[in-house]
Amino acid sequence: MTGPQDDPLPAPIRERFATLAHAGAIPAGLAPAGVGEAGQPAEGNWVRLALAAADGRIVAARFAAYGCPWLLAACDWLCERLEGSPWPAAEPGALAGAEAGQGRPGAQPPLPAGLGGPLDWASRLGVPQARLTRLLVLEDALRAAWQSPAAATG
Amino acid sequence: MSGTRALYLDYAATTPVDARVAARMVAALGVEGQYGNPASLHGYGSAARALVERARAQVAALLGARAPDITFTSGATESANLAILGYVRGARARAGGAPLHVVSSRTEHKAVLDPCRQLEREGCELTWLSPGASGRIEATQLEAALRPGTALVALMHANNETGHVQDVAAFGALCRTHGAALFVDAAQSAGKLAIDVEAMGIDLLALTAHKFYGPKGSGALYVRTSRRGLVQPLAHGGGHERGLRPGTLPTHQVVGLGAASEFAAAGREAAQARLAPLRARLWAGLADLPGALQNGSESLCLPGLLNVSFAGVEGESLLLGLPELAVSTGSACNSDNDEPSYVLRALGRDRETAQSSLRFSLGAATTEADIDLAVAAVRREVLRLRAVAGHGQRP
Repeated sequence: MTGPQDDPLPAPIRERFATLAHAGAIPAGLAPAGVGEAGQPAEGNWVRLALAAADGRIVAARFAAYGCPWLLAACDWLCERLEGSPWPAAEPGALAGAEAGQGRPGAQPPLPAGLGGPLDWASRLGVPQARLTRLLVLEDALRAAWQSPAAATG
Repeated sequence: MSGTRALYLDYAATTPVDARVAARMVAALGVEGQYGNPASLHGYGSAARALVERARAQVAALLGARAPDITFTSGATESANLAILGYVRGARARAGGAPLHVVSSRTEHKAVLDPCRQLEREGCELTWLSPGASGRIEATQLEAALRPGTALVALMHANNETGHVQDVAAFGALCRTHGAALFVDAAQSAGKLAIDVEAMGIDLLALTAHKFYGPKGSGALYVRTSRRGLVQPLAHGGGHERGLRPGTLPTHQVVGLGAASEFAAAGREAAQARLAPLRARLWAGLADLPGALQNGSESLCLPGLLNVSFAGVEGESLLLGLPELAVSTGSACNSDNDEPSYVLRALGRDRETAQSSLRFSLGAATTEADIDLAVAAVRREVLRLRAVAGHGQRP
């Protein structure tokens, strides 16, 4: 059994976890332009990201997630960062290269320039190496959102 | 929580030292206390030795044992290692070196699992019993596992995660019939449940003081007189504790264990009577939450322990969302291998259910108001995290 004193989280993670302001559905009146899922609850991590776009920008990002506090806080943090970012399809030239060297196998749709990737997120959030897999699940959900049928028309 | 301490509901992890116990320990320390080496022959030594022997008698009384059969150790982990490794190695040497057979279960504490695995590495054959969904190991399972070459059966009295209480007396009867020694890990049950090593047929037993309001770093191993000659010491250097456990005895720690044993024996029934309704109140307040599942047995459980899985809520997140409570989780997030509670997995719980568990363990200071506070907090957080997980949408 593990107790509350194990692996203490940084205050920013705790504070974000306490609110999770971006959990839930896309606000009424906005249509999701992209929805992506990754992970499995049985593996301890599952994320669904929903994005709404207008005028070539992400105007709302929301998530549903099952997992540890690091994952939930990272979901909330990423949604906050996504809001206001250019919608990838609107600026294809801005997408390249941001994930160079991340080491993910297979063809992957790129992430928006300036958004960074899991290693950068881990650094900014103070996520320890042992928890990096949570951020990879989050990245997969984001990429899946770009690839979803709704995103093609977003 | 800043400024205030969380409500402590983790008495199965450890307990505060009873003020009466602490007073006796303090009295044994300092220049006015019995600080002599209990092994010394002068007056200081004999004064300390008298306290040690009083404590030995107090521990023995808690177990229905003879005082000379009690060996002081640093805690239950050391006691379990000494019992399992020391006994089987000794029995093997007596048998001319032939590998022996040992029986244990998959839901034992690591303090038992790891020395058993060490015996496997040393050539012994292990049979691992798998409990049913409630955590119960049937006597018929043990009977089927016993055979002429079985040297030791190592099974716990009460499980540290679920609180399930095994029928140790039935195990003891079987072991006697088959000539195997029975080692019982009583870390969670000593001081809380009635134990009679004679009536229960226990040959070796481990306990630790800090689980029943004594100090950390102080425990004991009971070894039945007839088995004692087979137990090989794990350390060497001075022949203390009749050759089983060398090293100068820490008088104040031993005094603490003895006092805790005395007070536990006197207050056990009253504590049980007080804790059982509190536990029932806790479960009654949580049972209707969506996905709530009690792990362990309703009737055969430590009176102050409740383990609940909240399907759809990850245990570590639930723990963090409850800063007002100090409880434990079976979540795997803090472990290297990402495997949630092996105990709950052994009971047949799937990974998600196993990692969504919280263990509440109640104790001497727990009140009805505490239970109500805990229920309200858990209900709030379970519902919040289920909403965050988008129940109804997720796979």
